[in-house]
Amino acid sequence: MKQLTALSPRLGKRWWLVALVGVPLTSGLLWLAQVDWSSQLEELSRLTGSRLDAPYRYPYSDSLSQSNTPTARTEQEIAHYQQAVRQNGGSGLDEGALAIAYLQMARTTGQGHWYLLADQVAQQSLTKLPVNNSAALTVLARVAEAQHDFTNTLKLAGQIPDPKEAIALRVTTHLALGKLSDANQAAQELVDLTLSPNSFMLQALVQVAEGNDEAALKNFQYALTTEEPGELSMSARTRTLLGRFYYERGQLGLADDLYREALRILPGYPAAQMNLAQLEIRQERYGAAERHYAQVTAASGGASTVYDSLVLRGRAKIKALQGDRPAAEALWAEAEALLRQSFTGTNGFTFGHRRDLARLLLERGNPNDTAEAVTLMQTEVARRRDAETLETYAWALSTQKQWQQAQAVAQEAIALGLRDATLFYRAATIETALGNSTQAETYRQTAQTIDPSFDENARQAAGLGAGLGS
Amino acid sequence: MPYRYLLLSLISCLGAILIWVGLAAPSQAHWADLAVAEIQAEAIATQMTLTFPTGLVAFADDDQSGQLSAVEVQTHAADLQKFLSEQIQFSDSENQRGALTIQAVEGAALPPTIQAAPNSHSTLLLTYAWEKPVRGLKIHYGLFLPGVSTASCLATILQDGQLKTFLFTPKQQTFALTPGLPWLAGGEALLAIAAAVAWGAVHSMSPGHGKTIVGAYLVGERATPKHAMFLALVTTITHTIGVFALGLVTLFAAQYILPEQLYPWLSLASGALVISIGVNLFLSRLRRRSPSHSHQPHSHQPHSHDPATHPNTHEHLDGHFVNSESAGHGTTALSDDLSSKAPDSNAYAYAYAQLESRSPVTLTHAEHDHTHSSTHQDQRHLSRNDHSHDHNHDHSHDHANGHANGHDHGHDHGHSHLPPGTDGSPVTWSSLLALGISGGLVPCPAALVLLLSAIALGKTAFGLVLVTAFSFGLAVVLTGLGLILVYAKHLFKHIPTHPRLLKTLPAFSAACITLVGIGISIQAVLQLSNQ
Repeated sequence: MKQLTALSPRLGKRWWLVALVGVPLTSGLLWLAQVDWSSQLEELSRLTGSRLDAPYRYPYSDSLSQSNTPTARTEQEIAHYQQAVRQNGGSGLDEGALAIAYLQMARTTGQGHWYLLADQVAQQSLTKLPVNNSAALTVLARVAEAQHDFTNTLKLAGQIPDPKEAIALRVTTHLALGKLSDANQAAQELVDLTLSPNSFMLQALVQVAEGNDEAALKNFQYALTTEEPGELSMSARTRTLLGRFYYERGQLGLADDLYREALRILPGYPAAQMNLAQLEIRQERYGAAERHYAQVTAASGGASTVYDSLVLRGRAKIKALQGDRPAAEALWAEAEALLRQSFTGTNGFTFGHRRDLARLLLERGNPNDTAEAVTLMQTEVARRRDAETLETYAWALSTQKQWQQAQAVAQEAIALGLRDATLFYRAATIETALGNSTQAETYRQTAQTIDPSFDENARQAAGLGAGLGS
Repeated sequence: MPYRYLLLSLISCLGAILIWVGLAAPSQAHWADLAVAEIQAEAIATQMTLTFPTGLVAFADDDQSGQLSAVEVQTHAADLQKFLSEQIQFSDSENQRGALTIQAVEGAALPPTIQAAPNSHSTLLLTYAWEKPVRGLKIHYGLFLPGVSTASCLATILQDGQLKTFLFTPKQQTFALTPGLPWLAGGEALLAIAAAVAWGAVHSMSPGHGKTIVGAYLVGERATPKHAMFLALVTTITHTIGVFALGLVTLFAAQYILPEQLYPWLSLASGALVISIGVNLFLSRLRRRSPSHSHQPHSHQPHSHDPATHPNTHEHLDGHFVNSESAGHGTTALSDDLSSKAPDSNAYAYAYAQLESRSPVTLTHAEHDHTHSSTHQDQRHLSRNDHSHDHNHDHSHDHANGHANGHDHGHDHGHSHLPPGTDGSPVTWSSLLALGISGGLVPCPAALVLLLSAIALGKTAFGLVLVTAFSFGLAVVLTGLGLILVYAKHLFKHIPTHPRLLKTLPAFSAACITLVGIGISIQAVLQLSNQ
């Protein structure tokens, strides 16, 4: 006090006034910088209730406990089964149930650690109970599926005694591989076996892939109508996928509402956050998109998730659209390093997608990257020939000016039936390059029919969403 | 002069920004660097099932299969034990490390038809044992690939039926389990308590919580730091008890009424109450502005202040205001009104109304000292204008601002709205006790949520600790503000005022209060309609 007075007599007398004004002002600025006002406003609007009607609106709001998060519920299950394993000496069944709980955490949070735990415990379960162990085999198959090891997924699915789990795995794996007839057959078997929300949802996804939008919408609605209270992950997942369906048909408002409804059911659900970010990018609301990405990153608490590279790609796209090329390049580089590390060889846990790396290289637009993008996609299409993979391959071939090959690939993708405006726009671009203006115009009109609001923004946001595999 | 303040403010802001920037987000981790551990803590032993990249113990992977077999583990047991005991340590509260033993955990033998992808991880069972039961457990995990900052290990820790997860990283290698509270990490409990204190402190800055009472009291001459601390202590204890009591009532009511059904009704009631307060205030502003209610300025003839000739009370204006958080008007005991008062906004609204209306307060003439002593200016007058007490002075009674509740302040108004001591009466500990109780009697909803959430999570005892910490933070701010007022009260004379703004503010604040109440009510109605 005396020193302050000595330095400046007038200041010394008023130092506390400066502190009285400065401290709250600084604290307020610091707080404002930290507080995510928009998210809080969104949260407030979320709390005022859903804007959707039944069956899109979750009918069991009372079961949405404010104090007990879904991951907390799963953690309680984990604690229970860990104790059971310790007390019962490990019969194999307890380990199997524990593995299922770990897998549930993995699918809810997207964190790789939980997949690793699920795999390890499932193997322990099989050691103790090698026969008729549906739980352990299901977990191993799901982990393999998450790693995009589709061959082993189908082999493991064939060993699962429980037909429901086995058939469900066949549906998702065949969908990923682009074998729509096998997926359709499996989906029909599953619906015949059990009229569950999961079976209706999977059948809807197959019908979306086949381009049968009307039937798909009907099955999505069946899935929502038959949902049960407490199955929050299933309810959130169905709404997120239905939201994607509407997003790809240009009904952005309904997609937004469904994503937010999923978040209302399962706060912080990464897939819904990612798709909301994609929607915000399409609507040029880059700040909102950044906030969603930040929430996905914050929710992981530093743990790696299956969404890491997609978040980085999305943020890079935002920076590029904002004209900040250096920042975009830095983010692309980080995502690239992550993806390259994740699928080096075939050892260990690999959640990286060659397709994702190829899309990154193509999005970056560096002419030196296009050759590698083509190589990556050639390897990928040797494993799977679904519409999205073929569209990416056609894109890569286009950048290399391999128009004829690109045309063949694009036509193969269109023949599968998927109604995707991005795919038809890609095909139109290729036909234009080949001088087939009439066919190109037809494709463009088809794209507009599928998604009337399809524009440059939609093209920029393409490939940044989280789908079934997430 | 202004530049110095500007410079100081800019430096403060810059410092804040630098702090904010320095709090960088964690970087991304890679899949190949993942490790997981299931830890089960018992009385004298702790087991850790660790799955980690085999590359970390490449020296033991003789066949370079990427996985350690039981034979390899047995062959290299000593080396593995030495290596792992250096990287992973379990110690008790006395810093005694547990003795480590290692067992291999082999993976399942999958059918030959399934060619599984080669695994790069190995699983070992590490057992740490002590000779006597362990109180408190500290885990140090340093098993990371050298130079890989993104490596991590997710640990699930099970103790006494409670599960906790923790992510070990190169920057975060230590985790501690507090004895008796096994689910708490070393610094987590302290952090939670500190956060509760901070929350209480920040929350106390919102309307209400007895700040006006404390401020008005401590401005008085007889206020001492000891009084202020006693006041803060009573407020803390009262508030804590209030939260506990209301928490118990809510839990009891929840047995018959689902909380989800109860809360919207509580919100609706709260919102309706706030609306009524806001409307009441707004109407009072309108009445104050109506011509029929205005008091014509008048003056006193020169008169004597001899108590013998003035047995009745009189009024002082311009800055003598009612510092009361009582909802009503016309009571002497503050606690009487507070026992039935509504949430904080009610008290705030009334106190603010009194402040802005500058309603005259009454002083018993016997206590009112009209001497010209130098201490007079500090005596319980929050007056902005100096006034002299020459026996020939005039008391102008300009009531242009009106009254909060439309009543008349006559010269025979026998009650006082001042806190104890401000009217010159001796301060007693009982009056301080009553003041403190009145200030902390109504529990904050925030503290109630804190307690109920802790109970819902099965951590009742810690919830009580947090509520106490919350109340402490609240009391600290009250005391601090009061002490600031004590030392700064003379500055109020120099604060410039804008009469027009001050005339508008009360109505504006009343409108804001009404809007808040409408918002609360609408939200409650929506919740009820969704049920």
